[in-house]
Amino acid sequence: MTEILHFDTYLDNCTYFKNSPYDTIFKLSNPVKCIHKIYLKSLEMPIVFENIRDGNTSNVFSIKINNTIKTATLASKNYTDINVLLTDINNALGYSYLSVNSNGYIILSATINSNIVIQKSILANVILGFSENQSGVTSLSSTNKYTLSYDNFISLYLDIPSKGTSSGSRLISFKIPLNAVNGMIFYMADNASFRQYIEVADENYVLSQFRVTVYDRFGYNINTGLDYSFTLELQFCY
Amino acid sequence: MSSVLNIPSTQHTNVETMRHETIITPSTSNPSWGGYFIIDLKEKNCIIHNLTLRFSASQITGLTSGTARYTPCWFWVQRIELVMNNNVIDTIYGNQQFLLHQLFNFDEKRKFLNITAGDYSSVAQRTALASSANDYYLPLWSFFKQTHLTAISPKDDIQIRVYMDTASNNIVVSNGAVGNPVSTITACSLLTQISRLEAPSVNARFKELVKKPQHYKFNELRYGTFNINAGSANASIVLSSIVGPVSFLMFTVRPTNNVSGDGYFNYSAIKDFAILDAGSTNIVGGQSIVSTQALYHLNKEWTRSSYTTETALSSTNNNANVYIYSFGASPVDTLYSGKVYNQYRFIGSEQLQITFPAVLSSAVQVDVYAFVNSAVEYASTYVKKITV
Repeated sequence: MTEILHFDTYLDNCTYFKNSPYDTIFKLSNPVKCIHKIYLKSLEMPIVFENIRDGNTSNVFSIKINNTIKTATLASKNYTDINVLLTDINNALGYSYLSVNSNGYIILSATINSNIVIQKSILANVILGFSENQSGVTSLSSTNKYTLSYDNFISLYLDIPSKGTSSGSRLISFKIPLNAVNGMIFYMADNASFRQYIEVADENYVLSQFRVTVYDRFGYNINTGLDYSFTLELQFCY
Repeated sequence: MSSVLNIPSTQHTNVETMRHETIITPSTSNPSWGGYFIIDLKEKNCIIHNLTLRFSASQITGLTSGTARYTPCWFWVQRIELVMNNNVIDTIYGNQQFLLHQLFNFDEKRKFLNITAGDYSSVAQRTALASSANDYYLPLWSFFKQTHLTAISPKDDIQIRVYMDTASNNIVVSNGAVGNPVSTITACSLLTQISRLEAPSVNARFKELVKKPQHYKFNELRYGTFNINAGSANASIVLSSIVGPVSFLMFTVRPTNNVSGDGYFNYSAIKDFAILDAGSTNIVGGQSIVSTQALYHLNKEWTRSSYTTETALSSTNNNANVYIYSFGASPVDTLYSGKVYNQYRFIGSEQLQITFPAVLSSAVQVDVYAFVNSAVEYASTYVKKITV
C-alpha cells in the first residue's frame, strides 16, 4: 500500500528552522505509522543560490607567498565570467596574481623567485582547478581547467531514522542532480532508472513531522533559497 | 576465594567469574562536522553496560583576534541511532542526552562528565579546552545502561550511527572576535564498559535463550519539536509523535533564533503547563503546573541533581528551565533500571498546553522528549524491540 504526499515550504504546515526554506520542519495533519520506504517522486525548486558563496569556502582564496599568507574573501555572488571572478580576487589580494590563459587554465604569477603555495579551499581546488597545496616558484599554472558550474548536485536530507544512502559521511537522503543554472526553476520527476528512496529503520517510527535540510555537494548548508515543493510516496509495511 | 575463607555473609558475593573491562573501538568511517559516520561494535561473550563516544577535536583556529570555544560535546550530534541485528532499537538526540546527564546524575558525578564534555557553566573551561587539540567524552544514556544486554552471537552486532551537527552551530566566538573559526574532528572512538564472560556462563545463557526469548525493559525515546510563532502568549501542542505507554516526559523551550552555540543549553522559562488527554481532560493533577512548582518541587523528587535550581531564583542562573512530568513514581529508577512504576498510554492526540510569561516577542522552539516503556526481545536468532 502506498500514499502520495505533496509538500511545499510556502504552506502553513512548514516552518523555517533557521530563517531559510532550505532548513525547514514539515508537520503532517495526519501522522502516519508503519512506513517501510519513502520515495522522492518529484521536486520543483527555483535555483537562486550563488556559485560563489560564504559558508562553503567557495568565496575564500588563500596563497602563501614566501611564508606570508594572503587571503581574499569575496562577497557571495553568482559569477558567470571567469575574468570578473579573477579581477575580484586580485583586487581583494591587492595584486594581480591571477589570470586565465586561452586553454582555460588559471595562471598565478608573483614577483620573481617567490615561493608560492596554494591553500586548500573549494574556490582554489574545485573552481579554479589548482591541486591541493599546489606550489611553485615565481608562477604556476592550475592542474585542471576552471569551472564555474561546480554544483553538480544538491542533497535533500530528511531527518528520519533510515539506513544511510551515502557511501561516505555526507548527509544525503535524496540526491538532486543539478541541470539548472541560477535563476531557473529546477524540475525533477521520479526517474524509473534512478528511483531514490530511504528505508525507514525504526519500526515504531511515527511520521508526524520531519526536518528537511538542503546541503550542497560538499555537505555545507545553503543559505540562499526560495520556497520549493516536492512530493513523497510513502510505502507502508502492510 | 570464598571457598577457602570462612567469611561473614555480609562479605559474600555470588557473581559469575568475569572480567570487567573498557574496550575502545575506533569508528568504521571517519567523523566530520555536518556528516555521518558509524561505529561497529562486534565484541562477543560479554555483558554491555555503558557506551561513551570519545571525540578528538582540533584546536579552533582561524581567528586573528578574540577567543573561541566549543559547545558541550553532547550538542555536536544531531541524533544517534542505536542498531542491533540491523534494527534501530532507539534513536537518541544531543539535547536529550545533555539533559539526561544533567538531570539524573548526582552533582558530584556531573562534574566529572562536564569537565570532559566541555562545561556548560564555564566559558573559560571550554575556551581553554578549545585552545589546543583535545579529547571530548560524550557519555550515552542508552538502553544498554538499562538492560545490560549480553552479546554472544553475530546477530548481536551493534552499530552506532552518528549524525553530526555542523561546526558553525557548535563553535562560539567571543564578542568582537575577527576571522572565520576553523575546526576538524580528527577521530571518534567508542568506549564500551563490558563484563567479559567465561565459556560456561556463555553456554548457560545460550541454552536459556534457545528455550525461549528474554525481554529487557528500557525507555524508548519519542521526540517531537514544535515551533510557536511570535505574538502568542500560550500554545496548545498536539503531541502527535508520541504514541505508547509514557513513563515520563520532559520539554524545553528555546528561541528559534538562538538554537545553536551557547543557545543550545539556555532554556526559556514558562509560566505554567498542563497535559490534556484526547478528550481535553487535564491528566497532570487537574490544573496547570506553574514553573516554580515544576522546577523546584516536582523535580526535587523526579531528578537526582540540582540542575534545575540553576535558574532565575538562584544566584547562579544557567537558564536550566527544564520541565518534567512523570506518570511513573520514579523517573530516576526507571532510567537506571528500566523498571516501570506506572505509565500513561499516549495515542498521539494528547496536548501539551504552555502559558508563556508574556506574549512572545520572537518565535520559540519547543522540544518534547517522551520516554516510552518498551522492551528488547532477545532470542537466540534475533533481536528486536517491542512496545509493552
